[in-house]
Amino acid sequence: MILRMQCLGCLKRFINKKLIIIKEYSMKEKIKIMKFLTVFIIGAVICYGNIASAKLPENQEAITAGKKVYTRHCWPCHGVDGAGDGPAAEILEPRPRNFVSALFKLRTTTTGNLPIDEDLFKTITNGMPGSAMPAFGTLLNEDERWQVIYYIKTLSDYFADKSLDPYNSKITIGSPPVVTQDVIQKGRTAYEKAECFKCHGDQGKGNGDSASELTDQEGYRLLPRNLTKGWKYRGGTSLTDIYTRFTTGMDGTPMPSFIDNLTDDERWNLAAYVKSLIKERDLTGNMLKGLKVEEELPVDAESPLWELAEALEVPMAGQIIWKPRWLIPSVDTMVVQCLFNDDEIAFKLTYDDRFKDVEHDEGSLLPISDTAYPILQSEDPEFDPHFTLNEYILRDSVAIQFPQNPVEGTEKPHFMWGYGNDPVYLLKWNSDAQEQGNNPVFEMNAKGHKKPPKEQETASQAVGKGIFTDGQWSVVIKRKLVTEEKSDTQFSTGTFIPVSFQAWDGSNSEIGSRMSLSTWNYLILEGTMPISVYIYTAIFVIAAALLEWLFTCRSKKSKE
Amino acid sequence: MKFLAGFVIFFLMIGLSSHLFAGNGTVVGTIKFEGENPGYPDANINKDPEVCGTGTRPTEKLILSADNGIKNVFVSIVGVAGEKLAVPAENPVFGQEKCNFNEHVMVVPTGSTVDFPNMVDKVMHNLHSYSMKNRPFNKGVPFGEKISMPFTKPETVKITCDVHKWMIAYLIVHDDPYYAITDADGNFKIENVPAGTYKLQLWQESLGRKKIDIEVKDGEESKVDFAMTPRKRRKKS
Ligand code: HEC
Ligand code: HEC
Repeated sequence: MILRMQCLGCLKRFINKKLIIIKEYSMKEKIKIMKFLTVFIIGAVICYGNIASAKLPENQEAITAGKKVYTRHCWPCHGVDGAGDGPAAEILEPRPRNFVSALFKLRTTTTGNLPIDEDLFKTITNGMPGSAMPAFGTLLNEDERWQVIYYIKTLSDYFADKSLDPYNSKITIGSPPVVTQDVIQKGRTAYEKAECFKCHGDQGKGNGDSASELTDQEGYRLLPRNLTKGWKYRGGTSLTDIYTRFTTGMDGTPMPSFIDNLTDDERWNLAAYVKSLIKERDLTGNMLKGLKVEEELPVDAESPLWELAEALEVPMAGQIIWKPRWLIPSVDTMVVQCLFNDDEIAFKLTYDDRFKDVEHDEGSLLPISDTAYPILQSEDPEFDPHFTLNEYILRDSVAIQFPQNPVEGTEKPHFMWGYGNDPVYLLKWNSDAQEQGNNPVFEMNAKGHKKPPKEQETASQAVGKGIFTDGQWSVVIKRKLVTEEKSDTQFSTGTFIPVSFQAWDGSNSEIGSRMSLSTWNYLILEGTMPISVYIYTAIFVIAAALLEWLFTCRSKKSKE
Repeated sequence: MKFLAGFVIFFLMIGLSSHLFAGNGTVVGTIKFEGENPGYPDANINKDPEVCGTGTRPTEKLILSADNGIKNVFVSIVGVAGEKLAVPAENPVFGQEKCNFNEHVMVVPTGSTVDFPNMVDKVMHNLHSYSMKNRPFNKGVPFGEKISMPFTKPETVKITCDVHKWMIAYLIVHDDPYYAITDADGNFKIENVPAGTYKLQLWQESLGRKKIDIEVKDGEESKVDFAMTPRKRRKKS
């Protein structure tokens, strides 16, 4: 697990090295900034510190020391003056906190009030998962964390105003109840009473009726949390954390406080309900095992046959290797399954997507710029809730990618659409084609990132269907195991076939290389399998792990 | 009864004469719009149809009469050494019906606590304020509930509901009675202003702020007609 995480960190390091697009800064500065980012992203991924007990006294000396910490670690994102406008801010969503206007999401104080020092300490220690805010729990010692807090507080007049002393507006937090099915049930009732579903959706997928139009204080798009994704909770997923979030509200965002209109009991029940929505995810695997069946393969994602097939959960990340890069991907995890029989092979891809986008009109889309905010952004500097939507409508799509030709050993084409002499084959499903009653699955080939995948000239032999239910797509794609077409990947039992996945969320402005993608996983079709395959599998997994580890170490060294 | 009437008249006279002696004047005028109408789109009513209704609603961002008079301009005279607004004994009420705030621009005296009931619409509204001097708030208010919030500093506070994005209103926290809100034709009238030279301040949500020099003369009516122009869009850096 750790290994995998380290590797993710590695990938980000690698990517960040390439992510030098901030024009006004000199090369040296850019590298510095990226160094900051890199170290922190790793920090955020692998570190989780403890909350301190002894608090440093708040005095001039501590503030001066805090300024040093700030200029070492925080300004690239939060800005020199703390206005949330550091050079890295442009490429982040959500944007770094503006300490001057001092609206904080994570507080134990009532709505509109400042956080207490301990709130800030917790945030800086644990970071804010799901955002770029790193965890400093191991990078900074406790004294340094207090110091930087005292410094941050000098950046805003609000902290100096004695009448706003946050310690006077602390909420009282009792102790969490023992969670039973009954408590969760009552929590569901509170969820309905408070109409949390208006934003978070009936099942907490972040897809409520009002979800698509929300913005933060400055008019930038802000989607409600998908409550099933525990790894995106900014303030932690303990019952107390969750209780605190909707008791105090998250200032600067549409997330309201419910302190007045839900009783304390109702709020604890609600916290238990929200927590019960969180799905665990296991990203340790990279082997997709196809299951052989006798029956005809279903195109229907709801066929009971799918319940038999093993599922692999694949982490997805924004495409940030080539321009235009994509830092705010929508799909961050995908569950995949595979069935086959003597003749055909079928894949089922299941993933959360808040909104069903089945229309497609690229309109005035091109050229796509490299900034992170092409989507919903208000024109009016004073926050204009009437968005100026860009003049295009994009569909949801998903693709499965294979090397076009059989691979030898660990050699694989690049996972971003291959290379010139290492082409890839893609099976791509487009929601708009399905909506219009056409075959939604396209067979495509690509020879590198420079040219988008090209549709094959012969009509697509693959079929498929997507079903959208409450913030989730389930897409089935089916094809013959073996075909006549030279540029198709051919499937056979007993071999490892590299496979990777790509997804585009239309309402998140995703198209072309603005997408989420996975790295290579392996597909294995278990026929009557020779024992040797299992041995190979083991060797393979170990070798891959070793490689990942080596890569981590090497890139760590090369950084230092 | 007669006694009472006499009493009232007596006090009215005192009131009148005191104003006369203090040398008060009146400021009247019309605020018009000049320039290209930015053409704010109508609000799309697309949530909770049973409660909010459907279709579109004209935007309140800029309401113009046939001859370009602007509605809902907050006109105030800055720095009058005169009366102050008293904090009302009963809390001002800021309600909503059919997912529309009852008033688009409402003035409350500094120091007031305002009640925000949700007693009509059978849906939750989250009342979300935007302000700098008064601490902002964002509270979910289900049907049948009420919140009360204090406003301690003079300021224009924007109130929205994120669930129903078109719901926007402004609460103006103000110190003194020397203000008016323009009517549908852009007309306003501010009475009983102590004579002197002042700045007249105009504020309109989409056009911003504007200050004009005025002179108020004893017992006279000063006429101020003014044309507001579209705000220059600040470029996003
Ligand atoms: C890589 C960029 C980055 C760096 C470096 C960074 N931050 Fe942040 N920080 C963010 C982002 C982005 C957010 C907003 C996250 C959100 O709103 O969900 C944030 C939010 C915060 C918040 C707000 C918490 C709240 O309750 O709203 C605090 C406090 C904070 N950062 C402190 C710091 C300090 C102190 C440092 C340096 C020691 C630091 N940050 C370094 C990106 C960064
Ligand atoms: C007006 C829309 C809206 C309503 C109503 C709403 N939320 Fe939220 N909620 C949001 C938004 C937006 C966020 C994301 C805030 C952020 O991090 O930027 C959020 C975030 C959250 C989070 C994540 C906290 C974290 O640590 O990241 C939880 C939990 C939550 N809401 C619970 C609730 C509950 C429970 C209710 C009902 C009592 C509710 N919300 C009602 C908009 C809403």
